[in-house]
Amino acid sequence: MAKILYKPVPFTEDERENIKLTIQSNVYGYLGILLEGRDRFEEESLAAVTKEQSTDETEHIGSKSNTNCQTIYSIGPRLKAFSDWLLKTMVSGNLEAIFPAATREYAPLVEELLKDEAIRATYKRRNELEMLPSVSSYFLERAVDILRTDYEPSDLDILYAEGVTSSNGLACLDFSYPQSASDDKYDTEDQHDTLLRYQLISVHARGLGENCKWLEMFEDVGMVIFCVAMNDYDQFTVDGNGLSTNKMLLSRKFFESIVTHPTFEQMDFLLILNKFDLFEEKIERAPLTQCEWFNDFHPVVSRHRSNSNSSSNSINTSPSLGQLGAHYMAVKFKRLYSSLTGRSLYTSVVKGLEPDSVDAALKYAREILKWDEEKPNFSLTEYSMYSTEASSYSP
Amino acid sequence: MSVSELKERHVAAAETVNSLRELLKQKRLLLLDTDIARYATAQGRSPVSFGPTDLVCCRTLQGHTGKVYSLDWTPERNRIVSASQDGRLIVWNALTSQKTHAIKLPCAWVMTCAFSPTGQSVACGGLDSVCSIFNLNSPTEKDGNLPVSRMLSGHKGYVSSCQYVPDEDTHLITSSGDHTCVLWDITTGIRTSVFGGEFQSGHTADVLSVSINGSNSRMFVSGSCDSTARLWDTRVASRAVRTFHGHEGDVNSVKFFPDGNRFGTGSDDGTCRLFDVRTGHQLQVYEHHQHVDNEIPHVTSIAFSISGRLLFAGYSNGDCYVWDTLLAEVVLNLGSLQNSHEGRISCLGLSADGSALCTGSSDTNLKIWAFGGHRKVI
Repeated sequence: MAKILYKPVPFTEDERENIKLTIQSNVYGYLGILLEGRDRFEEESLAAVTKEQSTDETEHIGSKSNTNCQTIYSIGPRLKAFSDWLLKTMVSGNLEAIFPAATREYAPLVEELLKDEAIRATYKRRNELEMLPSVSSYFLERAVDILRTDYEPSDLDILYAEGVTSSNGLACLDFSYPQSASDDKYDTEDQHDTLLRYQLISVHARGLGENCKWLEMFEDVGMVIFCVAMNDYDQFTVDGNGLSTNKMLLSRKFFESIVTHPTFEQMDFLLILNKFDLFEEKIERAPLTQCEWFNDFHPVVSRHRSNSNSSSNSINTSPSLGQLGAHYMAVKFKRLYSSLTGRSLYTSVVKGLEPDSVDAALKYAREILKWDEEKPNFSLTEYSMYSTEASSYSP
Repeated sequence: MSVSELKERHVAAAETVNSLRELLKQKRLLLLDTDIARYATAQGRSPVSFGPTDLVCCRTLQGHTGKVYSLDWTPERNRIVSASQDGRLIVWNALTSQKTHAIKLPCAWVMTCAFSPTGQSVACGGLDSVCSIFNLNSPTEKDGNLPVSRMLSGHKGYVSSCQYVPDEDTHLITSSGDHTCVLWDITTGIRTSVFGGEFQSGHTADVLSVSINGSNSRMFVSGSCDSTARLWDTRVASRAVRTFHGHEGDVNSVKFFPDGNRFGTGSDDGTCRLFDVRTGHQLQVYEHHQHVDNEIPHVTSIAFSISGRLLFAGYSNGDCYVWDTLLAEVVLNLGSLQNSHEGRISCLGLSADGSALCTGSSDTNLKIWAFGGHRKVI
């Protein structure tokens, strides 16, 4: 997002090409999860049907084989063969090997698959598929278009896409702050800000290994910005040991290991609670307590809650559930941080897809860095103020 | 077999392995009736003595604007390549202090660099997970930068260390944060072998350092955050020849002893150790006991003198001890000499003829220390 905000040509052609492949392989990934889900639902339905059948033994003694049963989740043999092959390829990690030829050859099959009744039925129950990320719907709805060889990702597609921060785990961006209209009220001393250059280094932790040895290279940064996707509280992922773990708890563990790392002993941290818009919408239907860390979240919400569209503008309405949840989450992280380090954590709530929201968070980061620089000056002036007061009291 | 049954069997097997390992450790301790230092003292050997003019800083190479992370000498003429946090590789002439090349890197987060055996290319790697090769003789581009002649990509983690296979400009070995070491064929850019990784018994944490045996370039040793060093045969990538336990912290640096039958390691636990390749025994521990404030300085890098009698170890607190390997005593601390570095020593290396030591530090300088006075080539 920072690239889109601050660079005139955010992505080079090579980068766009790579991003396109990432998005397309992500879509295949989502499709795979969907197909696995379909398999599961089919099994469950069949089990339910056979249970019914066994209770009516007298009527159906002859038809014992399950293969004769059809549920709404069943797909035809040709599609089933394709589905099995796709799942097998994904599990063996060879998805990259079948690209990009895959898009041409298999596109019609994928199109058929997506139109199939069974897949649509599975898609309706997608909230039950733990491994399917919320962002998948954005792409799956347009899967047929995306999987074409001439597909060009739009800026919004890129923002939504997962795994787009370069595959090798590191991306650097140099920028300086443009003067926007609202900055007019700053006094002239701040004019030099336009000359200050900032470097935003984006690190995707997964790509750099679980051990935090590489952190030692960043001991001189001004500040660490830790991003947490708020809507991860009910999402699960498979960790290194093959266990299904709550994503929010994984984030917390990672957060703990970073803030306690000896390299960052005196480092300022800014926690960005991201994807607030998705979170606000999700918290209405899935309680925050689904994540065990948040099990003491008992919001007091008035009955006359206003529509979330107007709540951010009007100061007279009580906070939405989403806002209460965001505040609660920030407090949990702040408490955790001060218990680990004895310092205070800066937090910011952001909707990652709205330029203004991201810009505000980065401006906050810039302010924090400036405060740090000016801290020594303040303590000196305080002292001199104190001493003049003392002398004015002397008899 | 169900998944839970498999898991149970895995846990039981791991327990068996651990108890066997304990038994092995006990047996080794029984066999090891002495270490090198005690044996040497018993033989009446005395430590090397260093006078004030024996090892002096004769050059300070200034030019980097960021911390120096890595350095390497050429096997032939006295040139040094150094990599720094400012995103540049600088090639120095060690005798004249002149810079012959300043290479701006595509990714500034570089962690390692190496000179090729012929001295015509340099390799570097870092947080971008790629090992980049630069040919020093190629023409510079319009913007004055040397172009990358080959990018070796394939690692899924940062490249922590790289070394060319001696006598060939065509192969090099890298170690990475993705728990593997890789032997690359530079001309094609293909990974010839991968040592370790998911389905092979290799390191279980980031690999930080490699050292190739000077006498037998088919063997190399790697050191890792899993506190072990492993010996590998390049012909057999499936499992390590031997694993060396003993350290209690990340093994930051490994170096083969000049005769190739032993190797040294330096670790976050503040000790250096000498291991024997053939028997697998830990022959000696080099530990300095003066700890200020209970903070044990980490050993960041090590090097042996040509005869192996001296072990140079750089520490995170700026000390650089010269150990007498035979008697396990510190005979000199370069960090306490005049003109020494002002920051942690991040890397060091001995020139090919053993007459000079170069150290790199987070104070952005490199220093060359020469053996002065009567030069006993030890």
